[in-house]
Amino acid sequence: MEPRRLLQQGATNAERTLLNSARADGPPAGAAQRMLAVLEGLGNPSPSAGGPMAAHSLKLGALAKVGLVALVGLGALGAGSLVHWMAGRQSVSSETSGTRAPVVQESPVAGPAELPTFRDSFLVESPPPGAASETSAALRGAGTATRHGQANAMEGSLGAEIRLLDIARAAVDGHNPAAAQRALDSYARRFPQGHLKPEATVLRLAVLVRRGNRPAARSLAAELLADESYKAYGCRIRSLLRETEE
Amino acid sequence: MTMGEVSSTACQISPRPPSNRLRALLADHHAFVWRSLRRLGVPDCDVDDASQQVFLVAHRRLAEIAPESERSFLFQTALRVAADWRRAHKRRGEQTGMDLLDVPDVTANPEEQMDQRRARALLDQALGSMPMDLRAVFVLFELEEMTMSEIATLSEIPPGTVASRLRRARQVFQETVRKLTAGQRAGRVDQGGR
Repeated sequence: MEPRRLLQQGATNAERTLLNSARADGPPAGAAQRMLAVLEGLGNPSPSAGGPMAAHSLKLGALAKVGLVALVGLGALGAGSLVHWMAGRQSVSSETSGTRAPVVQESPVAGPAELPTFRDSFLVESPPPGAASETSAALRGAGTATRHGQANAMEGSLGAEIRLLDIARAAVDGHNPAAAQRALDSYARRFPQGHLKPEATVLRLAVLVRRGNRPAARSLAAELLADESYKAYGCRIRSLLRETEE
Repeated sequence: MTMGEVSSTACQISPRPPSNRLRALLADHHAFVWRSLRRLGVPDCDVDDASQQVFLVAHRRLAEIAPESERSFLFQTALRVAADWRRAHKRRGEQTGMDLLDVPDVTANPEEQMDQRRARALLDQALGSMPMDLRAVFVLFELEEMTMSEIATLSEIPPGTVASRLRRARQVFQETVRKLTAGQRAGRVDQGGR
C-alpha cells in the first residue's frame, strides 16, 4: 500500500517548512537551451562508444580526446613545418617573381583540450543583446573571405582561451597551483582583454587559496565581491573564501 | 500521461535522429535532472556544471539508452555525479552545505526571503545527514512526489527496498529536524539570556 507523504500527514510545522522550501528548486531560464547548444556543438556521439553507464566515462572520454588532440597537434605541426618550408621556397622564388609569400599563423595553445564547462559556454554562447546583430551587420558588410577569417579568428581565440583556462582549472583541481599559475600568466599575456577574463580572475583566486596565501586571497575576493561584473561568481568566490577560513 | 511518457511512446514508434532525441531528452528531463542534483547535495552554483556532466554522458550513450528508460538512466547518472561531487568536495574539505545567500529569491518580502533561505539551507543539512541511497528515495517520494512503484523502476530496486529505505530516511529526517530545531531554540534562548 502506498504510504502518505509527510506533507499530507502528521508532519511537524518545522518539517513542513523545510519540505516546502524545496518547491522553488528549478533551473534558471534558458539553461536547457544553452546546454543543448553546448551538446550540439560537440557533434553526434560516436556509435562505437560502448560499455557500462558511468559518469567516470567522462574522464576516459577526456583522455581519449587528449590523445586525439595530441595526434591532431602533431599533424598540424608537421603541416606547419611543410607550409613554412614551402613558404621559404616561395619567398625565394618571389624575390624573382615580385610576389609575397603567405604569412603562416602560429597555432594556438598546445595542451590538453577538454570540454568547456557550462560556465564557459554560458559566457561564450550568450553575447549581450544587440551584440549578435552588431556582429552580423559587420559581417554582412565584409567580403566572404573576411567574414570567414573573422569568424575563424574569433573561434580560434575563444578556443585557445578555453583551453588555457581548462589547463589552469585542471591544475587547480590536481593541487598543482604552480602549473595553474603558469597557465593563468600565459592567459594574461596572450589575452589581456580576453572574453573569459572574469573566469581567469576567479581561477587566480583559487590559486591563491591553494597556495595558502590567505591575505592576498581575501583581498582579491573582497575586491571581486564588490565588483558588480563578478556577481555571477559570488557563490564560487564565497566558497573559496570559506576555504581560507578553515 | 506526462510529457516524458509522451515522448518515450513517440520514440518507440519511430526512433528519432540523435539531435532530435537529444532535444527531446533535454526538453523532457532537464528540469528533473537539475532538481535531482540540487536535492542530492550539489549546491546551486555547481548544479549547471553537474547537469551538463549528466547530459554529456547521456549524449555519448544515446544509442544505448532504451527510450522507456531515459529518465532512469539520467537519474542513475545524476546520482553518480552527485556522489562524485560530494566525495571530491569532502576530500578538499569544502563545505557541501549551501550558502544562505545563494538560494534563489522566490518571495517578495525580505523577511520571508530570509526565512525561505534559512529553511532551504536547513533542508540541505537534514538531507545531508542521510546516506545517498536513502536520500534518493526520500527526495523522489517526498519532493518529486513519485509513487513507490515509479521509484522502484527509476532506481532499479525492488519495491520492498524502496519502502524500507523510505521508512529509514524518514526516521533520519525527522530526527535531524528535531535536533536542528532544538539547536535553534537553544541558540535563541542563549541569545536572549545575554
